[in-house]
Amino acid sequence: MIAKKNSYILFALPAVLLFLIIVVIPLLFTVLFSFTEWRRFNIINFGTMEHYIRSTKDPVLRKAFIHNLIYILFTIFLESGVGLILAGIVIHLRRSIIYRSLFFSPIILPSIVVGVLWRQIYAYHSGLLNSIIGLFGGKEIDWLSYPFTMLSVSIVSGWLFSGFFMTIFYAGLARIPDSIIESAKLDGASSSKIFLKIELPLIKNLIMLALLIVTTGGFKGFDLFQILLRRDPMESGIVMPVFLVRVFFENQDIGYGSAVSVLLTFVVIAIIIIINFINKTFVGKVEEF
Amino acid sequence: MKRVFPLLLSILLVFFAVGNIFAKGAQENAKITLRIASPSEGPDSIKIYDAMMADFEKSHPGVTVTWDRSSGDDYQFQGLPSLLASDTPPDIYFEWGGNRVKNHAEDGEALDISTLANEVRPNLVSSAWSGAVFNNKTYMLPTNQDVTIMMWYNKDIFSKLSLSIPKTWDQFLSICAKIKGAGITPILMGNSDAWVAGNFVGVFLYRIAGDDIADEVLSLKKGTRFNNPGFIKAMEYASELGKKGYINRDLNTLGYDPSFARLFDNSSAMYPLGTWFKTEVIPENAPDPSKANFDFFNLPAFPDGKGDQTSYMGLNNGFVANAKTKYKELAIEFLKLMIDKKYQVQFAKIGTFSTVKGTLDKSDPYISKVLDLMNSTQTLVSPPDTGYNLEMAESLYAAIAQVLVNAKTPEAALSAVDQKINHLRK
Repeated sequence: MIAKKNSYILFALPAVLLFLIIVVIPLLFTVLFSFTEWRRFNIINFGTMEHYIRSTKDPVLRKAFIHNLIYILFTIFLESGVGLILAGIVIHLRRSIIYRSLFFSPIILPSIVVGVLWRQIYAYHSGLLNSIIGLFGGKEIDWLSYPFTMLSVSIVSGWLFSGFFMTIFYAGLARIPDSIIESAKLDGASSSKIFLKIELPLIKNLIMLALLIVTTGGFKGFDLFQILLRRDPMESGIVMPVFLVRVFFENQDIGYGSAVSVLLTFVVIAIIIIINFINKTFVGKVEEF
Repeated sequence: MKRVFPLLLSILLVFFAVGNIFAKGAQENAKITLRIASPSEGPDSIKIYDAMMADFEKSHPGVTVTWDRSSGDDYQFQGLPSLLASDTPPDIYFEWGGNRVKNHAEDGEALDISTLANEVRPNLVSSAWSGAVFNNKTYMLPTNQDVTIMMWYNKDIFSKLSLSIPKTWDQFLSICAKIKGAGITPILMGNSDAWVAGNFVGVFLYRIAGDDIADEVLSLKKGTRFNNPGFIKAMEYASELGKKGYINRDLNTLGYDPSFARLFDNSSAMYPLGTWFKTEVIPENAPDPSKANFDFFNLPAFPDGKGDQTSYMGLNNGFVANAKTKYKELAIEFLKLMIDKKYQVQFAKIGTFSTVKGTLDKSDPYISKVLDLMNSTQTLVSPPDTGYNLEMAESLYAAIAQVLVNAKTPEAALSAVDQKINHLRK
């Protein structure tokens, strides 16, 4: 009887063990390492706060963090914002599956292909964008250099992921009963009013979800930055993951890299808490259909 | 018959036993894989290394030699450190002489090969050992020497515009102005990996601030600062090149490999690069390597420079045996084979500056000219990213990249370097 009562533990055990091994234990090790002084890949001292003190004075870390925030701000609009607009348009189109497939398609491309493709578009010398600008007599722009770096990478990110968010929002919009839309139309509401006053409020939970994905995902963006900017000698597009890779693997500074990772984890957790708070306080529950 | 049978049986048993021992030995040998790691090289060099590996395998039955190659930048920054930290580290690996070899020695990743060095010393040029010996112990077997920065120029463009080789900085600026006036980019650099401009302007630092002062600052000696008058002056020279439009505006986003297309289509006149321009860049990038009409000159003298104005930036390259290798003797044997004259003559023929005496064909005008450059000065300066701390070099290169496109003033950029590398000075 007791065995039956506790049998749920057995079912949960594999998942719990996996979570412990993959997430909790590495996290604990990272915290431990952050108080450790390393000489390349060897521990030489334990019990130092130096890495945390250094992080407060590191101008590159500051720059990487600010760039990350800028990237997140841009992608909130370029990924989820554009995704929302696309969903709002596509839902009203006939044979929307064609458009949905089209907008979703960039996400299936490997990052390396996307990076190489957009490097050609952004190329200063005979790149697609500068060639178009040239046709109108404009001057060439170094799109991947300061001050355009963050905007240029964010545009690629938007192109890549807006289709994904469109799909989420489309699913939400498709669940709204036709009767609600029909009655609004009978009351003389325009399409934009229906979208803004009826459809948007009914998918606000999904908007918060998108915000959460973009914000937390923004701190993980690495591949596009690495492929588009290579070593980024001017550091005009350095973001936290790129910074961490350099600290961990190039400088082999495990202690400092761990300390920055711990701080970053706290920042992401804080952001999740804030978004959840906003969600609960201001957004609330949405009626299920 | 009764006696013959046991005899035959005994012979068969002995035969099987001996055969088994040999088979076991071969099996054990078959398990040996000697791993070598290096940055990628030109096809001609790879052919020579392949022959070397085949010869080694032939003379060592059961031993397989594998060679892991990755692009220079990847190898330097992430490839080699990751390989060395992996479960299957290389037994022998390429290194640029200097601080990197010293670090490997301190971290127990470089085998003391002093005995081998003493044995082969008479065969190698005396200058080869710089950057390979620390605390009187040799950790790298130098195989070749590189001049890291020389100004390669398109002879056709120079002759078309009637330009001559500049001896002074003013003459250099004057030819840049003429080239720019002809609608051609004077100096091209693919600096998205940071080191091309870093090495180029690195020469300015030594020449203007003074070789010893520059060395002290780059070595992070206590009390030194990057934001010093000599370095500021040097960066001002670099900034001037950018301001006047003598360098391609997109240098920091242009990749190293893609950049060469704009050199070989005659839209750019000069490229600051090392001796490998001849052995790797031209064969791999010129549409018709036989028609690539390029020559080089050492950077001209700066008017108010405190350093040796005839210095050149260069280094010795070689191979290090991993101190953790299970096959120390095999690794040493392979190292010895690497400097065998049989192969080094072939390397020399494709333009590599072998450290082995008697391999360079001094009647070849190119080889003779490079040797003249090397012999014309007493001062060999190290590239910041291989001769010194890599983290420091990265910060310095970022400053150089910013100054060349005038995103920052020399003072602000150098001050940022001081701030970034403050923790390294402790």
